[in-house]
Amino acid sequence: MDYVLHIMVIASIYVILAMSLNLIVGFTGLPALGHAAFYGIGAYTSALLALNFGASPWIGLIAGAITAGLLGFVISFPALRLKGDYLALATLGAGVIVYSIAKNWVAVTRGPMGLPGIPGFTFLGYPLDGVWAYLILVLAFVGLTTFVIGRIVNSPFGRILKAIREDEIGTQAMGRDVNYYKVMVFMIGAAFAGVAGSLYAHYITFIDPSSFTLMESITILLMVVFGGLGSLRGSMVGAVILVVLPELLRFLGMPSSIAAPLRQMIYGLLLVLLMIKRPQGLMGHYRFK
Amino acid sequence: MPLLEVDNLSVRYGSIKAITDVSFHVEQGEIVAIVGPNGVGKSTALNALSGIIESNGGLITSGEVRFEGHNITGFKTHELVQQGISLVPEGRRIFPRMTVIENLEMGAFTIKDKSIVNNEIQRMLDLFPLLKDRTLQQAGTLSTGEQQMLALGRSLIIQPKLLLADEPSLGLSPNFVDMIFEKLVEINSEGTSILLVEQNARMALEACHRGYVFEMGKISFDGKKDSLVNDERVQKSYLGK
Repeated sequence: MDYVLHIMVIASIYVILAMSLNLIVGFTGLPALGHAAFYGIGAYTSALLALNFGASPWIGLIAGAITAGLLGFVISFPALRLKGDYLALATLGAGVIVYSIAKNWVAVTRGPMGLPGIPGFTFLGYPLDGVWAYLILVLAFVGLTTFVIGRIVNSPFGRILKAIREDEIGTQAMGRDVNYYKVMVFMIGAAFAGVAGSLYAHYITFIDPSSFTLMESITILLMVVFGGLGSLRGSMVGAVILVVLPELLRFLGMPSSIAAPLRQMIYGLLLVLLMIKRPQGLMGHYRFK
Repeated sequence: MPLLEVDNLSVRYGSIKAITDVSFHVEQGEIVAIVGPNGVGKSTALNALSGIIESNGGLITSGEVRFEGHNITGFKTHELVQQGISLVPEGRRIFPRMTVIENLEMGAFTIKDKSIVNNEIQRMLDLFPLLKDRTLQQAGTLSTGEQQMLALGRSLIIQPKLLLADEPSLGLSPNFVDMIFEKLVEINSEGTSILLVEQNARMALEACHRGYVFEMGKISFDGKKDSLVNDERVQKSYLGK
């Protein structure tokens, strides 16, 4: 039972990551490939505050959101100058830099040895014991993320984001400062990824740089595209399916010597098939230009 | 005092000079046409004063642009709207996956009062009756000519003092070309001054009050409509007579 609940907690964390990335990639149309950087800086900020200063995970969570938001602010600057593929490459580079810092700044992050013994969340003085409690906590944050990002994309602000996705010069000609919106979107998306990082760190209680690699960014982007660009429900479905699917493939009863590679291949094949059959994703209306 | 004055404007892209020492102006109530063949800097001149030049990698190296007497050199595209300058960008730049109404609403974003917005949208639908039956249609499914009408309507909602129109006839069927120029004249007669950049010299010169002919990054000559239409050089090069 705990196994199922654990998968649900992980899936929920990915739902937050996918929705926050969807704000940037799907709703605003900025191809960003460095989401793991925001996720990672949130996790490290929160974990280091708890381990070194005994800060409550709640403080860590807020601090993680802020540092991730600030990183989003910094990373948004290439976004103001670069478009399309070039922006994807620049954000990818930013992700690699953050990963390298986590890996090599041993004095602070302990590098590849990781940070063990991160304390768990408490609620009104009681520690959250068991996976159930965490699931409720994480689901509450899924709700908060859905609410906030949902409000953003359905507001006049969100209308402008959609307009930027549709046509940047057209948006400028309508008297809108496109750069302001791009910076805001990166900051908000990054902050929510930071929250996801903090939730992850205090749940797993151990983090190391390998959780925040380029592959992680790609996985989150896959969830967004799979579920549908510009669809929050799509991000939920996409994240849940892409977390659960590999787990389900475990139960196919394949001989253990070939199980792992075969699982990867089936997973890859399913992704390819979906993208051929439904390039706009499960619930999206929009595809990459 | 002219509405818009451009003095000795020079622009380059990297080491390539696109336009050199270009000066022109638009008086209150005028339609001014900038004509000339491809690649002589017509659009560059317009982009320089509409701020698009920067995102294209261009640089204004000298010159000054004044609107109603104050300096607007180097203003960003979005800052022009507050000045009362509206841009109809080249290639229309409508929002294809928004409906016609939503596109018009985007044009009204700087107006706070909802009832004014609705009035203005209604005014645009009256001005462009073709759009009236298609208000809920996605703009990307309109024909090129209809999209140009929409782009024009979207830029007129704020009731600009000056309309900058970049190649409004590009890619349009002959019927729509005629219609666009009729509309521009109509808009102008209601008080909006227009600066028009066009490859279609014949139509542009017929619609305008005054015109400038660009050649190789410079203005080779200018004049009133009649003198330009009857000019031998213009007739030979642009009007095919």
